[in-house]
Amino acid sequence: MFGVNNFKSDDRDKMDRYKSDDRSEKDGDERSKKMSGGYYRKKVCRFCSDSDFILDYKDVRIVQSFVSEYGKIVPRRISGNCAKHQRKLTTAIKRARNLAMVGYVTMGS
Amino acid sequence: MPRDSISGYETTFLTKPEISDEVLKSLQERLTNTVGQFNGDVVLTEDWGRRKLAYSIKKETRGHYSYVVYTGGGGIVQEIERQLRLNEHVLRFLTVHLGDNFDKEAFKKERVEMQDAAKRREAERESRREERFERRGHYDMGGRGGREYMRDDMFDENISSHVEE
Repeated sequence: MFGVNNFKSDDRDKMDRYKSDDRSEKDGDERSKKMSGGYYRKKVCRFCSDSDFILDYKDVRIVQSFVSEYGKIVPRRISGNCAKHQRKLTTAIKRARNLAMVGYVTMGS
Repeated sequence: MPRDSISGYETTFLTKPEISDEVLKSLQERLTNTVGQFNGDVVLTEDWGRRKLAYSIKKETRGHYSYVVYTGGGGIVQEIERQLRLNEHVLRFLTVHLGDNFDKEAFKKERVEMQDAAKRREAERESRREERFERRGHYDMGGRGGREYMRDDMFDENISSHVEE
């Protein structure tokens, strides 16, 4: 019985460690210190920071800048968008795809 | 939903590129009549001109985009979409609900602002490209700038002149 208890607390310890690891990895600045060579620029949501950058499915340029060469939606981890705008962006991209402004699989040519 | 609230809708439809202006106009007129039947009115119509499609639809690689914003009571979208579906020149359409209690003036203002912002961005991009050109002596095709540059052939000559107007 004692052994089992010990085991559990051990597990919890491990989990805590994983959690803290995760957190430090998410923080861009923290990571840049760890990485040898090259700086990380802190990513900001372009829709939040630039008032001229208006999200709209009708604007091909904006929608296309968040689509990969293979027509995939660029993840938040890469683009740095905030959750709110990423959610709106996905619907915008899907609408633009329907209207053949952005491809489903490839970016033209 | 209360009955007196007016909903706004926007419909973008894509027609075959070779159709004449008269055919397009008659289609738009018919839509306007339909909107009138449902006690709504057309807030805004835009013609985006011909553009290259990202993928071919019914063997067409180009399409003519038209954009209409209108208000109306219940059932208007079904009727408009039915008419678009019946028309053989229409390749695609998409209707988006703009919300109940639609404010026409606010929407018009917002749309103009949006277009201005797009223009400002375009100018900024152009200046950045010029800067790059001066620095390196050639337009670089690699990296993000290159992708922007390539994206230009998404646009038809017509549309680029249309934007400048």
